Amino acid sequence: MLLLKLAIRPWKLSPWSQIFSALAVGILLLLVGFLFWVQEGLRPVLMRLRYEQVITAFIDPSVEAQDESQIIDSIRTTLGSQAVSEFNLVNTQQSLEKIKSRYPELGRELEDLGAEKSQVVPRYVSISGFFSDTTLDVIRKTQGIESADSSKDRFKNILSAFSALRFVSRLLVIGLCVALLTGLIHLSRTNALVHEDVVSLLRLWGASDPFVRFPLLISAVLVGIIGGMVAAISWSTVGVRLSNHIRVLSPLLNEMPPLSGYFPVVLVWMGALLGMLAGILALIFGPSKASSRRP
Amino acid sequence: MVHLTRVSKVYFSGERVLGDISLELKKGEFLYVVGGSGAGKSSFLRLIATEEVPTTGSVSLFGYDLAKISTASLRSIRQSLGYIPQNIQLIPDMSVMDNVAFSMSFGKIRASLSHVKGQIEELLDKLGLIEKRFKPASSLSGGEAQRVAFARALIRNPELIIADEPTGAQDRNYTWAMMDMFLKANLNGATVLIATHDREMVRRVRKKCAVLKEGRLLVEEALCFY
Repeated sequence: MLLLKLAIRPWKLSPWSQIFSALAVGILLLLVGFLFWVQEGLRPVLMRLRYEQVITAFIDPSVEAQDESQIIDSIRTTLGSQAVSEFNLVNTQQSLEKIKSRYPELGRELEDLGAEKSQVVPRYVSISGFFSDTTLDVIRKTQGIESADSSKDRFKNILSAFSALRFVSRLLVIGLCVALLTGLIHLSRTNALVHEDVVSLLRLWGASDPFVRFPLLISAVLVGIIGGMVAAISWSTVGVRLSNHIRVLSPLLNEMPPLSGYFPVVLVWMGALLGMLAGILALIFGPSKASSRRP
Repeated sequence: MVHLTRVSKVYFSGERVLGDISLELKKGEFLYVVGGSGAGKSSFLRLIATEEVPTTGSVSLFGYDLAKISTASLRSIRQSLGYIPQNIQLIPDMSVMDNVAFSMSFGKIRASLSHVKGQIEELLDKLGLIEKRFKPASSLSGGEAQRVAFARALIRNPELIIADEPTGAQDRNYTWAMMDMFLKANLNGATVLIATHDREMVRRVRKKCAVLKEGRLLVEEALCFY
């Protein structure tokens, strides 16, 4: 109890310094939480961009129509248990209809080719889903397949941009945590200097080193917890609105998960943990006067 | 108990306040340190209270040379001291009760606050501070603060009491009450060292005297007629 009274002395002696420190910790923790959400939320977006693809496998013109089913079976075997969301065989006539709907003139010219149109109009198998990197190569090697390509390469630039954003978010989270830790260590050390007179007195009474330094730990944890609470309240109000706003910016970003209800509690815990870590580091590297043998 | 060998103290400013002082104080002894203002009484007591280190010479307490002992032993020695400094040094924002309890929590005899509460209140009552026990120390007058410092030192049942002008700001009633408690502690085996320039007190409670003059200490074996 007496230790606690000693630990909260800085709140009596320099309250504004403690309040502003707690607010700063809260804002930084909110930023850490938000960037962490961006970093984690981009994971399903990147997964989708990286692995979801539409493979178009063009059937060799020499393949007879009755043999198409064998080729389809081969491709299905190749895909195995991979997540296929769509599998379509587009024959010559269907392909021609598609061309006609988009380019009517070209469609008519192709139709005029008669029996030869099957040599010109492509037949293909369209497969959508999440596939491994080797799937395309295996389909290319399937007998009766002339060529195959994937939609994956089209998203290469977006994928790189989102990956970079995720990496920067991760770096910022680490940087902000280091900044928080440094700030809290500094605050603990300053708090020790605030009641340096009492520290000297306690030493003169025969107080042990851990006893004298323990209030440093408590004061850092206290500011960490209050900062965490500030972050949690801000998260529950501003954070949720901001994340919803980001999620509706594009259908792709809608893949980002909504904010979890338990995250404010995590922020409070994080504040306490950072405070404790800062307090321990302040204990180890405490002010020289507080750690001296003589008062 | 207290052994000083050729101790001198020179401050950073170059001022020499104590020079070549030697003193032997046995367990259970009572010694007044008297002398005029600036004679070096406070510096002398600060050395014994382990608050300062001598420039030359050695200070031994309880048989341990303070310059050579470990931090743990120094801490243990400090727990056996009851020091009343001249500048009082209370924790201003804490209550009178907490100030005394804090000191007790580091003493040799430790107990929870609930156990010693009655003991602290009894002492504060004798010193006229019972009504102010929950008031912050910063609200006390000079005399009251001095009595809290006195209570803070005696509540620990120290083996060595070092008091620097403990009755300087007291009226006669409290002076005698405090002296009575010093004497009782002394009768119970505590060694008492009091710096004072209160001639009446020294004459009425006659004990061994040491006179500090111009940084030199003269110890009189006979009763003090300062």
